[in-house]
Amino acid sequence: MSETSKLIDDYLAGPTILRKAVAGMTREHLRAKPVPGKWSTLEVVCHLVDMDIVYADRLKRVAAEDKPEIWNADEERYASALRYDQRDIDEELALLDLTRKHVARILAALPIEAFRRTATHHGPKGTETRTLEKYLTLIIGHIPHHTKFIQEKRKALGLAEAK
Amino acid sequence: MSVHSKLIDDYLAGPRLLRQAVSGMSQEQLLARPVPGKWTTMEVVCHLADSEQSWAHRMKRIIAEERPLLIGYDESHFAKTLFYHEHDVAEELALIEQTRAQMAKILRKVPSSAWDRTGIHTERGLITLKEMLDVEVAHIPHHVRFIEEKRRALGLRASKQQVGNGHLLGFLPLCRPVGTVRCAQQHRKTSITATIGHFR
Repeated sequence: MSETSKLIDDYLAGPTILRKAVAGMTREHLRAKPVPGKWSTLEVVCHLVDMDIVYADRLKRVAAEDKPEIWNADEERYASALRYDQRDIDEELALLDLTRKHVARILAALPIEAFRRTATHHGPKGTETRTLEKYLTLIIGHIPHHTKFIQEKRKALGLAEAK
Repeated sequence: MSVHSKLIDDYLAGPRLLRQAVSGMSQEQLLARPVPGKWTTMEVVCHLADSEQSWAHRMKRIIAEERPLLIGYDESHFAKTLFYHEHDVAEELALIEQTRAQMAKILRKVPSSAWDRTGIHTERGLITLKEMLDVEVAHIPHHVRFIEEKRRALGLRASKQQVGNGHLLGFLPLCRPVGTVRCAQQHRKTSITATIGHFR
């Protein structure tokens, strides 16, 4: 298996990791904030889904455009303004699945050298040149990063650890 | 209830129009280019899926950020470089539906004041949330008309909506094909005509 097909498989595996992390949680569990000062599980899921749509756009731009400029979104008000507490977990997970399938088809069709295409990324830590491969690697890490915190919430709620 | 409930209903109805427009088309017909110089039906569907993602996120940004900068993209270049013919039409349709379902849920909950919030689009300039939704509502019917044109050129029957839901297509903007696959200009006309002529 080539390096890029491994990356694409990992990218496609993300939604399953998230589904497992929230398995068996009721709506009450999902909306609870058992760890003071931290998001509810539903807020984590909505954050992941909303960001994945942004990431889909970034991957497409890097694949299609000539060294695009990419800026981070200002997410501070997203959870409240975009009603994360009112969203439906099944709809969110379905959207995540479909978003990744849609992008994975593009990634799978790209020639290997396209993964070295670059963008100028403007983030909170400054400006850097990022390759498509780097973006994809960071995106793959986003869901597992947050499922660690979902495990923490499960524990605080007295739920069994997700498989 | 949202002050724009009807508009949000129309936004949610869009994917069904698209589904009806492509119903009964084989993979070969979806990938055919029966009208020279224009997109294939699959390219239209994939363009709409890309656009849905992009516009949904832009609407979220206008709701949650302070006058965000919304960066446009060259849609005909996307169509040429993002392997639209490698996509699966059922997946694309489901993505459009699910994207709108999520966004509609958010739009129904925004306070009335949010509809006047603005973003700065690199091609369109200052745009309100309400105007963005107007553009989105008109977008699928705009392209469905061109799918109908392809159906005719392929010798296929008009889709059901052409017969049964003519009223939904009745408000379509007066933008004419320009004999090229590039439709950015058509989109701009769509938004202007739709916003000024039909929604205000």
